[in-house]
Amino acid sequence: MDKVILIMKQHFSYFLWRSFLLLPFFFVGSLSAATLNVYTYSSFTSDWGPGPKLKKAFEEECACELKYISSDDGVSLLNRLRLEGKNTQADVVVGLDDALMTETRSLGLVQPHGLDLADLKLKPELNWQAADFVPFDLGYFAFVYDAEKTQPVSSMAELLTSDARIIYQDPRTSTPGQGLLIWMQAIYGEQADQAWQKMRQRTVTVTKGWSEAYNLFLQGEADYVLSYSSSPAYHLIAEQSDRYAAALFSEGHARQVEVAALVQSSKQLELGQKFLTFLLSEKAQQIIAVNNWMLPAREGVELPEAFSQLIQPEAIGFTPEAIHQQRQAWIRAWRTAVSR
Amino acid sequence: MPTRVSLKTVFLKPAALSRQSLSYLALGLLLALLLGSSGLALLALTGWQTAPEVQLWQDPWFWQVLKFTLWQAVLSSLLSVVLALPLARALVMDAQLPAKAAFLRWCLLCFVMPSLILITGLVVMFGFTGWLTPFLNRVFGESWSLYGLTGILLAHVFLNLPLAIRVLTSQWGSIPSSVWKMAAQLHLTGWQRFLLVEWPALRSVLPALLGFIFLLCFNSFAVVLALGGGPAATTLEVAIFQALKYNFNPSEALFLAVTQLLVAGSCFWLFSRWGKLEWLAPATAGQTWRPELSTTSCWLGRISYLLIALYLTLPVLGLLPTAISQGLAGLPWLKLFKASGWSLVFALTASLLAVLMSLQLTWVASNQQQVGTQQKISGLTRLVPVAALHHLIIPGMVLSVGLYIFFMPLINWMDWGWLAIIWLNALIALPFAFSQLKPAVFTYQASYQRLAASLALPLGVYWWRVVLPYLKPALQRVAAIALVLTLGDFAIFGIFGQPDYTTLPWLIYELAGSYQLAAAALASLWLLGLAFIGLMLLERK
Repeated sequence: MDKVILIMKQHFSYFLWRSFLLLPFFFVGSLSAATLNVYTYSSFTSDWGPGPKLKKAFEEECACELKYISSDDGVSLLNRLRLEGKNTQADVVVGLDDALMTETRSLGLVQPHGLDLADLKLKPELNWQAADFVPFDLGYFAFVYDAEKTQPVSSMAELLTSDARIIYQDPRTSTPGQGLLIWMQAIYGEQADQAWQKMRQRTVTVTKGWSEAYNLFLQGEADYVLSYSSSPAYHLIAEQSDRYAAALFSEGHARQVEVAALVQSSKQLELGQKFLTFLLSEKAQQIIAVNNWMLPAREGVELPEAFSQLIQPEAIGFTPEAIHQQRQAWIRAWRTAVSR
Repeated sequence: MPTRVSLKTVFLKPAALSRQSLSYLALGLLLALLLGSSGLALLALTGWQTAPEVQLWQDPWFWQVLKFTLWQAVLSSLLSVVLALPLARALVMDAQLPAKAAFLRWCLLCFVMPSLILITGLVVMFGFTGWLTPFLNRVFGESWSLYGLTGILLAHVFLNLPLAIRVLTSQWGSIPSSVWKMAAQLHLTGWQRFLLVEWPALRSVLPALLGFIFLLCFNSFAVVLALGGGPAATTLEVAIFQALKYNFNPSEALFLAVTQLLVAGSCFWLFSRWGKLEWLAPATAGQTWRPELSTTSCWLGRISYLLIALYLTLPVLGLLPTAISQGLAGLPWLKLFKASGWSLVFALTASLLAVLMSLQLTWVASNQQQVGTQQKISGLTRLVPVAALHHLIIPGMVLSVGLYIFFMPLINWMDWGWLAIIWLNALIALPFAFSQLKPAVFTYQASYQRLAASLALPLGVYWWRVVLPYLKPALQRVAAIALVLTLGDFAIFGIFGQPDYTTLPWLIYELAGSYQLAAAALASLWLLGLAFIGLMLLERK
């Protein structure tokens, strides 16, 4: 048995050595090709997302190749970076959100972007200070309803006491679900337990991801579905339908800011910076808005008429640090409150 | 004469010996690969220095989840098997039932159905605004609600009843005509015949089938969450997903996975202990003969055929209005064709691999069970069923992430991800292939092994002319099930896949995630159609 282990060890180190020997060639190869590897999530790179159009526009001005590698969502993206550590081939990561910033930073996965934030013309309401991440779009979590059937409520309190049927996503498995968690905490704080119990009585079901929930809603299974304030823009532009709208809540809405950053181990810093600047250009911001169905992070971007019909919520919530610290406890409280 | 015999033995012995040691070597290699994959995956997860949440044991929530997981799995598996019994019998005995082959093929398609599509289909039928809901409200007095245990059971029966039907039909069908004839000659009553002829045949597969479906439901995830009506209906699998993905706590995931492994594993072991393969009788060539059914059981079979066929097709038909609402133009045809091509490449290679592995493993496993064989049971062969079946219990996510982590320093996954997709899909299909192939291989060995050995044919001729022709129908069945399983894969691709070779289920997921729900429904119907054609080609006589 010992002998077997010894042989296995020898083979293992042989492989390890070989891969180390090959490593320099790898970098040489990637340098000469001037390829920028961008890690992002899959609905960003799909044909209906902004990815392909952004790639085309960026490659026209950079004389380089942009290569996407996609994970299924922002959290998987972070996990992938974390797993790959120094072995990662990512130069830029696009599609983490503000709630994940603290964790990503503390793991040492990203590096300072070296850009002058004043040049980027970010929306002042973002009050952006980070030296490593740049925001590229944002969205407010909101409950979407069918205007032909439902008279909308005007606050979370009203929603919880109404007799509406609600579908939302599991905060353990989806980003909008986490958004609702933050939203409820921001409104109710210590009383979140009672609020969740009221929510439970209104809940039809809780799904794993956004698409199941939205699909069930479109089939008429619920009056409200948790989504984004910009979701109606899709129906307005792509389907020319004003049937679906988001309800504006007087307590304010939780906000998600999607961010991009240079990966710590990247050797393509200049090209990476160029891409980050490009992401915040007027052209890229327009592409992102009408393909990712989120709101621009840049001030004064010209958008289709449909976007002016969207609700303009007030943002409430917590700092990324506070979310990072309390998320687990909030999830446990939610789980207990709605399982009873 | 004696000289000739001894000459032959002398001549054959060294060759036979080296052949045997060669086959042992191959077996050892395969076992090492199978068990090694799981072992390395679990090992890789232990390498992360995060504390497991051991106080989970003290959390009442954990026990609630475990209890619910078990309860719904027991109910789902019992319901699936009990409902399948009368229908499977009718499919074998009632010669007048129409469209049997198409129905059995349709049964397999339920495996390839994306969970999003199943959920939507069931909701179209049974949801608040469902087609059948007004009727159900009248029956259940306005209290009908899909969401909760009802929805979970409906979905699980939809997914697993077809498997039960297929397994039981083939088992009932394997009772030889000679046995039926003898029962008729002895004037056995229906009940006696059931007890003496049919029950022994069923007994050998029923417990394992129950255990199998139990495990599938035990590990169920997206369906339980969406139709369960909230986190009160949660399975352990959800907790593992959460630990591995959202909290990134591999040690906690490992703890949960081991819990699942122990609980589900011992349940499965209990189930399969009750069943054992029994030698029926060599299948006789010539026309099959079946006794006539009594009028009651005949009509029972026909009614259940009608109802179950409706139940298995209506949710898919219910999707048609959504699917064609945007017309055919909304579908990205080029991308669809490309994704179909990649799906087929992965599915075909993975299922071929699974079939080959299951053939080798069942061959060894049955050899070991033969009564009166002189071959001693080595430790290696004892491991065979464990190696073949344990991937049913290890969560696919744990296996994929573990292997991803372990080989990351050695392999560039961007270049080699396709290899992992094929291998892991083959592993997922292996338990199905193994358990489906085993009875056929067992019967072959019991009936013909010694006879064939006495011919002393060269190995190639022996396999090509004797074994494979005999096993062909069983192999086709196994390949079919492996094909639909691997065609439907979504989770493994999510970890190892690249946009360059997007598969069909992943494309459907992308469509659904970008508001393209009509296109997603249409693409799902396309996937079902593709699988149906694949099965038709595979199951050709």
